[in-house]
Amino acid sequence: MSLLALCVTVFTYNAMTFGNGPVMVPLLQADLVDRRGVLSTDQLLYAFTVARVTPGQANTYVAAIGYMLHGLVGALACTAAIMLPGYLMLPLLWGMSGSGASA
Amino acid sequence: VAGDHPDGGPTPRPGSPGGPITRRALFRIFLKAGLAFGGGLGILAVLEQELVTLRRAIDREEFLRLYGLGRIVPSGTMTALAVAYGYRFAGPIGTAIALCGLVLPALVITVALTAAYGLLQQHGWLLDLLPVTILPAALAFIVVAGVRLGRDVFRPSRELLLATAAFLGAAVFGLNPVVLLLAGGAAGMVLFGRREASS
Repeated sequence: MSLLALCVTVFTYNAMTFGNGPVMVPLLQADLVDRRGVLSTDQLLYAFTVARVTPGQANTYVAAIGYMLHGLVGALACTAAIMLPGYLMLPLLWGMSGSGASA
Repeated sequence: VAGDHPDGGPTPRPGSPGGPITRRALFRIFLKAGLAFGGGLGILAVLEQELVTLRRAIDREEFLRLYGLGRIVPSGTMTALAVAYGYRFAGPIGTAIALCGLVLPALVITVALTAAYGLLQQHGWLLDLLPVTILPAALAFIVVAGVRLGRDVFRPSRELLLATAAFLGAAVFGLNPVVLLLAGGAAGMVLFGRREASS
């Protein structure tokens, strides 16, 4: 599985789900483990667990998956892919300040 | 002395009493937040203490409003908050600064532990320990997350109907979760849209 395909997968599933980390696990399981077979269930669970017990955000388990499949570059790329939907916050902010000014 | 903080709260740090937050401070705040344990709420507590209580860069009402906005953004709420505060205090570059600070600790530790997993695989006997250590922990985490998410749904409601259908779809018919998600969204729109219109 190419790095680009992995990032697109992570980005798409992340943008489709609300709430953090765990909601994406079944999507990744169906895609990466069952369909493509690039990851074992053990690996997926290991990734999920290490991100859960470390401080900070739990959704960095995609970094672990990226590292397993593409090394350090994969870890960084997957992390970027999972943070990108956060930028949807900006239009919301602008909308809020716009309505605040008119009120 | 008149003019000093009469409410007796902690004195804001020199140079940033309610004023704009520098890029360096922004990075430091989010790095500290990224080191917090307890997932989203742990991070939120650090942000509240730093931005509202200590630096008074933002008032509590707006802090809560931004949190509410962040929750309706897909992906992580804290990611959305990092973008919001980064942009507010330091513009487009600020979003990158805040995101980097937030993710750096977790990223470094996670990658280190994943590299350790690679080493485990080279020593087969250590790998045999995984089924009795890490994997049950993972399942426990997932069950807890599921129970937390489900707490609001497990009472007589139309949501419960959808949740049951989705569970059957996954457990009995082995449907793809993507299909389930989209079907659930569509069914929800039909069911709840009609209720909104009729009430």
